[in-house]
Amino acid sequence: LVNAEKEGVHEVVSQDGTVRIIGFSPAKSPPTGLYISTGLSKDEAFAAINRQTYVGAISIGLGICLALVAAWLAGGLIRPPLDRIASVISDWRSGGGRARTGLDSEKGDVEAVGAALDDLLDELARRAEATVYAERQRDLLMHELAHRMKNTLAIVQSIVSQTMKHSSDMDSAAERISSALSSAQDILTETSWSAADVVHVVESALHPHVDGSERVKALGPHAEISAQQALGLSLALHELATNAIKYGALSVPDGRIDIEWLVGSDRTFRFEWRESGGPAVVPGDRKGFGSRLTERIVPSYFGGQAGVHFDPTGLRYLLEGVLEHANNSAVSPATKLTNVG
Amino acid sequence: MPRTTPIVVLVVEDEPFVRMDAVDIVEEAGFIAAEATNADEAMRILETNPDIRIVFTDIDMPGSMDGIKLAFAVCDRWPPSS
Repeated sequence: LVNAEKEGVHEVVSQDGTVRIIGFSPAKSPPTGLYISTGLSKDEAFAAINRQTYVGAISIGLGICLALVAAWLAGGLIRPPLDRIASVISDWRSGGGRARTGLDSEKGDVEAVGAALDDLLDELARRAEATVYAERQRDLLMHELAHRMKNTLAIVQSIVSQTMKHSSDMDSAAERISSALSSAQDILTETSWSAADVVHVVESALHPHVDGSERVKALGPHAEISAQQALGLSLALHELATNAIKYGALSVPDGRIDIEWLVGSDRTFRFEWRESGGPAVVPGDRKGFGSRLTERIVPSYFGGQAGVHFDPTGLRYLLEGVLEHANNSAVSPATKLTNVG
Repeated sequence: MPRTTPIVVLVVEDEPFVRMDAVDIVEEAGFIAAEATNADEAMRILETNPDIRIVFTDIDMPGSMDGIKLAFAVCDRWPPSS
């Protein structure tokens, strides 16, 4: 220590046992070899610092405690809405579709989340309902389609078996069957399954037979007709047209056909087919399936009667009955003159 | 005592072609066929025609009764019919 060449500090234990920190500095001017030192008790020197450290540590501890208490108090305010949201979500997941938080978005951020969740669940419930409704509609439609297919096939099967049993030759049987099949197909592919228009039925039934002919005139009002009645009427028209071409008014150049129908306000239906200018017709020319069809089966579709009359001017077919499906106001006031062909 | 008159079958069907075909089948089998287009008409015919022994009916038909209701009504009121 005495020989130190530079100043410094050193911790020493004095003879009295006190720990001291001494500072020393060698003399810079003669007499050299001397040094100046001063000492301070370590306990006294550090007492103030230790006190400060102690106070600081307690302050930090208190701060932590206060923060914990504050967090616990604030948490107490936040937890109930969060619990509600969590329980609504778990209820909803386990099938309780009606569970809602019932929180008011005005009351705070967490409550706003709850209210938004309620809105979302409402929207999901609406969509689920719409899906169920759409599925039910689709099932209903599938069922209706299958039902109609089955019915149509049963009708076609009966038409085929009736035609085969009662037709005189294979050609006319084949013709009738193909006409019945195309009528049945029209019924299936018609945009509206439930109803057609009489005008449309008459036009499309006669079209293949009298295409481009001015000799066939059809006159009657637009009126709604059920698909079944449309089938009956078009089969009758096919039968009448085929016979007119073979034996009746359309077998000679000057013959003509006037078709006229009336629909009453009570939906009574009167349909007349009048041939003129053809060869003289003889009762008994047409027996078998043709008359069975036009005089028994077709009027049955209309809940009425029908008959073939052999007037001096030519064959006349009169069908009287009632039109089904009065769900639309049906008969248009204007009478349409239709030029078939 | 054995019946000497042919058995009468009532065919109930709203579709004319199908009904006509069913009537043919019944007649070809040796029965006499009666026709009705719906269950209500069938009941009227049954009330006035005690000879009917068999009712052959469609199920899906317009009117106040379908074929199943008609079958129950027939069983209740005319036990020998089947």
